[in-house]
Amino acid sequence: MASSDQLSEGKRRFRIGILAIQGAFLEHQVALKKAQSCFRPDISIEVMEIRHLRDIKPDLDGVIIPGGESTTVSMFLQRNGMIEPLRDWIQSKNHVTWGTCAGMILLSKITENQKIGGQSTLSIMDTDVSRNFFGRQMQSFEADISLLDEELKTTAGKNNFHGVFIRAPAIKETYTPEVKVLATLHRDDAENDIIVAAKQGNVFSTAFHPELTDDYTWHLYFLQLIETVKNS
Amino acid sequence: MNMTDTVRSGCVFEAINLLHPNETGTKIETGTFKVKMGFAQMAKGGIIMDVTTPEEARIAEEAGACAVMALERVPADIRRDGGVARMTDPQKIKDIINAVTIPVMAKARIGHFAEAQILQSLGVDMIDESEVLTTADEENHINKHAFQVPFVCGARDLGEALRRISEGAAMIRTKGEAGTGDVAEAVRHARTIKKQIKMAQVMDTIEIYNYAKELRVSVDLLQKTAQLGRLPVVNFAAGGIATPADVSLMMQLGVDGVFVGSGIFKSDNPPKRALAMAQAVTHYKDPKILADLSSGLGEAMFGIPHNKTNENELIINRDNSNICSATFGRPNKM
Repeated sequence: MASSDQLSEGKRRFRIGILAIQGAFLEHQVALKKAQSCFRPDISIEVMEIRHLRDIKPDLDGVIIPGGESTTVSMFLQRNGMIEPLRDWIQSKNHVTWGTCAGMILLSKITENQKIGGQSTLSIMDTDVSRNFFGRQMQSFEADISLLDEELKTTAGKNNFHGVFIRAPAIKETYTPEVKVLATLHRDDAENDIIVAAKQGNVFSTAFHPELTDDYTWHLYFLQLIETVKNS
Repeated sequence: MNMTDTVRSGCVFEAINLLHPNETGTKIETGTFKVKMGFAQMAKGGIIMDVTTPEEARIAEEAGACAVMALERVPADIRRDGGVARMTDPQKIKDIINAVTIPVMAKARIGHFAEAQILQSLGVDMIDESEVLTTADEENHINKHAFQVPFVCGARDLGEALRRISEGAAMIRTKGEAGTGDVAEAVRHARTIKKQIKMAQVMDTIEIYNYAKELRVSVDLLQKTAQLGRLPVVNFAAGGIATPADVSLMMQLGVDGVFVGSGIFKSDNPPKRALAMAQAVTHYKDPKILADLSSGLGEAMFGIPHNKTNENELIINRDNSNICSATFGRPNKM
């Protein structure tokens, strides 16, 4: 494996797969490339689209599950026999996974407001996620969220991040201490701060869409996590 | 993008952020152009299906549609029945909203901002200011910046697309020829937009000014489009798409996703066709999978070939703007 990770100029390479079933997968690709340019000059990244079972390769270092419609994505995964292989891939300790919006729903063990008949999920994180927590498109919004994780704050160079929430979910509850809250949102109309990003092991999810902004903090965080995992 | 900040309507919540007392507070902004465009971006790589009942909406959701368009009649029936086509009965839209968890869109007549206000109050996720319905204002389109809800508009060429965007459209679709089952017009419109963007890209500054005048659009927006090499908002194909192969054709021509109107519920086996077409959007580059998806779907909608439709009957001709003579919109008709 080590040899294939080395490029001829001695550059190291990260292989990243983006689930390209439906949603903003190109936006993630563009954001990753931009984040990479301000990451580490000795590391290059290779981005691949995941559309088939055969695209879920063990030598991928990271996978992004982008936003889109969670029902559309989950039914596609199920019909194409991709749920189990993807779950196995995510559970390997060498792999880093990031889910945005629909990705957060797919990664959660418990999901509220599912479609009639329910929808299958990857069931990885010990969280209770509510679909369309804030409402329909009319209630979609932009707002600054508070970063709680020290590493994220360092990466961002500040304590907050401008989040874009599109018919977004939110984490209503976390069930085990392994789940670490990464970011929260304060709203006047909510009693407590709302959990909008969390991490469990090498898996993290965000309710908002960093790929729709020009701030690459979260993409950098993703790359840093891959580096940490690869070095360990 | 300066458009992002132009007009905002509706409520802006002001909140005090206790975690950061030095800052003025968390501002929750709804209905911004970024949020509107973000909604369209989440539909990318997806298929949006026309439905007329909650049952059809459920079929679309189960098939994997990323949104549904709630209609009184599908375009093929509008075409057959004639008469004035208007906004859908609000009760029907509410029933469809309650039946599914995916986004629900609805159509308003061109220029009919009152219909759009009603649709917005129902909580639809996007409004289609559509030429499929009877035009309400022959001169003007809706000022879409004044709304909290995002809009999608039809276009046959770059000029039309950019004018709709400057009016506030967060998404563009090709007009195609709705209700015919003939993809020819959608292909023409997608290719025209692509060709005109390429032309703008090779022009120098002086030429761009003249071209903007010709297209009747702002120079800034045209320049931005040329720089991006694509429309500055999400662009779907619509109008006459009836088979998985049609989906693949349009996706390969560079659109971000597809609308399917009459193509599904006017076919032999709607659930099966809906499923095949939803899968086709993701697998558009893979002819082998498309062959499997296209097998045994039953009859596609019977359709009316575009060149057999009476010129005066063309839905797209209801749009009164004369840009076709100013651009390459419909070169064969010039």
